[in-house]
Amino acid sequence: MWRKQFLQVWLKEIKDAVRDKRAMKLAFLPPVYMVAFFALGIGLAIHFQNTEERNIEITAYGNNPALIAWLRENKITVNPVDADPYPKVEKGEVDYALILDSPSKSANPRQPRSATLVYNASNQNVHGPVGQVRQLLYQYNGTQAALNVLARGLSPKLINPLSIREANVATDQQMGGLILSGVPLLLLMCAMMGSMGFAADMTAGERERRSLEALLINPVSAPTLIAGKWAAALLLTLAVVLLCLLLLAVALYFLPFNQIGLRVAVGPGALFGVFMALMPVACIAGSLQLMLGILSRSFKDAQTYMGFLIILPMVPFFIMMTNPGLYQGWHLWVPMLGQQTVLKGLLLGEAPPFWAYLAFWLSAIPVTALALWGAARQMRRAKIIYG
Amino acid sequence: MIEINNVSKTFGSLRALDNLSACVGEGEIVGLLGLNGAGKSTLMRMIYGLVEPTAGDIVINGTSVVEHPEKARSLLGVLPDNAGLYKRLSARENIEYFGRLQGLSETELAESCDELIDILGMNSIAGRYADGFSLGERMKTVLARAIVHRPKYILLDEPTNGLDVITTRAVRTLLREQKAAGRSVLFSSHLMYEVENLCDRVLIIAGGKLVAEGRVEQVVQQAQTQSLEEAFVRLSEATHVA
Repeated sequence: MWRKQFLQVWLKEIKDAVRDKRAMKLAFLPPVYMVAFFALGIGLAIHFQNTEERNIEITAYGNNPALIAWLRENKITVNPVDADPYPKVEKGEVDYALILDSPSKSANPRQPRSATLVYNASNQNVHGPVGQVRQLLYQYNGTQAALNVLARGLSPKLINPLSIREANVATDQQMGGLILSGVPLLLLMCAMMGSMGFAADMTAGERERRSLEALLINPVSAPTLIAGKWAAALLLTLAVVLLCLLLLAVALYFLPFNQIGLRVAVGPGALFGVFMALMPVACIAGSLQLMLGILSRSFKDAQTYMGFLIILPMVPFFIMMTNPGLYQGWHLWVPMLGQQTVLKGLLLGEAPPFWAYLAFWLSAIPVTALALWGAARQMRRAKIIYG
Repeated sequence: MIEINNVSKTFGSLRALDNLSACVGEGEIVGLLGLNGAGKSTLMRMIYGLVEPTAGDIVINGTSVVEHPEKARSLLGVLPDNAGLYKRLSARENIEYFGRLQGLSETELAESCDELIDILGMNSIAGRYADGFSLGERMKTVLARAIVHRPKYILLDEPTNGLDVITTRAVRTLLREQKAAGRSVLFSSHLMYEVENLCDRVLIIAGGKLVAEGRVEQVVQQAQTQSLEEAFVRLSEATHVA
C-alpha cells in the first residue's frame, strides 16, 4: 500500500511542479545564466590575455639605447618620455614604467647602470606584463655580464655557479584546469539549489495554503509523504544538474582555450562522473530543503531559511581555493568537500579513486535519512499543522 | 460507531476539553454546536487523530484513534475547517489525488468522482485549475475530496459556512444521500435552522464540556425554551457565566 501511496505523492508533486511556472524559472534559469556568465568571463579572459601578450607597452624615461633595443627586439613596445613617470604611476595614470639613468658622456661605459621598474603591485593587471619585462631585464643583465667577463678572457660560467632551470610537468589539460577552478562550485550550487522552490512549495506551501491538514487526514504515514516529496525534489534537482552539465559541456567545447595554450577536454565520461558525484549532493539537498521547508510557515520564510544551503558548497570551495595543495583522504567522506575535490580532478582529466563514489553515498545516506526522518516527525506535529 | 470516551485536552494551562463523552451512531447525522472557542474543532481534530487527547480515548468502529491513527483515519472522510486546495491541479485532479491516497482503484475512483461531480453540480469546474475558485467552488471540491472514498464516517467542520443558497442545498442533499447510504455524519455548524432540518441528534459543547445531547426537541425541552437557538444560547451562557 505504501508503495502505491509513495508513487501517487511523487506523481502529484511532479505534476504540480511542472505547472508551477515561478518555481520552474527559479530552478532552470540559474544554470542557464550561470553557465552564460561563466562562458562570457572565460571568453573575455582569453581575449584579454591574447591582447596583452601581443602588446606590452612600457613607458621609459632616461637613456639606455642598448637596453631599449633589447626590449624592442623582444616585442616590447617602448614609449620614451621626457618627464619622470614616477608620479604618473603613483596617480594611476600609467600602469607601470621603466626609469633608466642617463650617465654623462665622460663616464666609464662599463660602469653598472641602473634600471628601476615602477609599478603598483596592488593592481592585478600589471603582474603579467611587469613579470615579462622583469624577466627580460634579468636576461639582459646576464648577457651583458657574460660579455664583460668574456672580454677579459674568462669563462661566463664563472659568474653563473648555479644553473637554474624550471620544468613544469603539468599537461596542457592540467593547466586548463586552473581556469576551471570555479566550475565545481557552480555545479554544487546547482545541485543544492535546484529544487529549492519546489521543496518550499511541497512543505511550507502546504502549510500556507492550508492543505497540509487535509493531506495528513488521509491514511498515509508521514515518512511515505515525505519520501514521495523528496523523490520528486530529487528528480527535479537532477534535471537541473543535467541541464547545467549539458550547457557547460557545450560552453567548454566552443571556448577557444587553445589560443592561450591550454587544453580543456571534458568528455562524456568525465561528465558522467560529475553527474554521479553530484547525485548524493542532490539527495542531501532535497532532504535538507524539505526539513527546513516544513519548519517554515510560508513560502517566503522557506526561501529565507533555505538561503543558507547556498553557503554550504562555498565552504569547501574557499578551503580548496586558499589551500590548493591541501588534500587528505578523509575529504572524500565530507559531503561537498569530497565532491569539490573529485569534480576538480574530473575536469582535469583525472579519474577519482574507485572508492570515492562509495564514500559519497555512505556519507550522504545518513545525512539524508536523518533530515527526512526529522521532516517526517515535524510534519505530524500539531504546532506545524495548525501553527 | 464513533465513541468518544472521557476525552480531555489541555493546551498549557488552558483546558480545551474536559472529560467529554459522546457517540455518533450508525447512519445518523449528528450536529455539533458550540460558541467560537468552545472546543468543537479540537474535538474534531482528536477524532481524526491529528491532535492527541491528554486523557481518554476515541474509538471508531472498534479501532482506537490513539493506538491506530492511520487505520482509524481510513474509516473517516473529513472536511477540516478552512481546508486548502492544490491550485495547480484541476478540481477533478484534487479529488482524484486524495482518492488514490485512500487506496481506491482507478475504476472505483472514476465512478465515485463522476457521481460526486454530478451531485454537487461541479461539471463546469471539474477540469479547471483550482486557482481562482470562488468560495462555493472551493467548498464543493474539498467536500467531494473528503468523501470520494465513500467513508463510513464523515466529519465536516462548518461545511456550509459562507456558501450561497444553491451550494448549501447541494451540500444538504449530499448529506442526506450519505445518511440514506448508511453512513454517519458529524458536522459542526453555527446555523441553527440547518441543524434542526438535517440532524437526528445534536451535541452542544460549552467551555470544553458536553452540556446537552439528544434529539432537537429533547434539547429544547431540557433547556426549557421554545427553540433550538434559545436552548443553545441559554446552555452556552449558563456554562460561560459559571
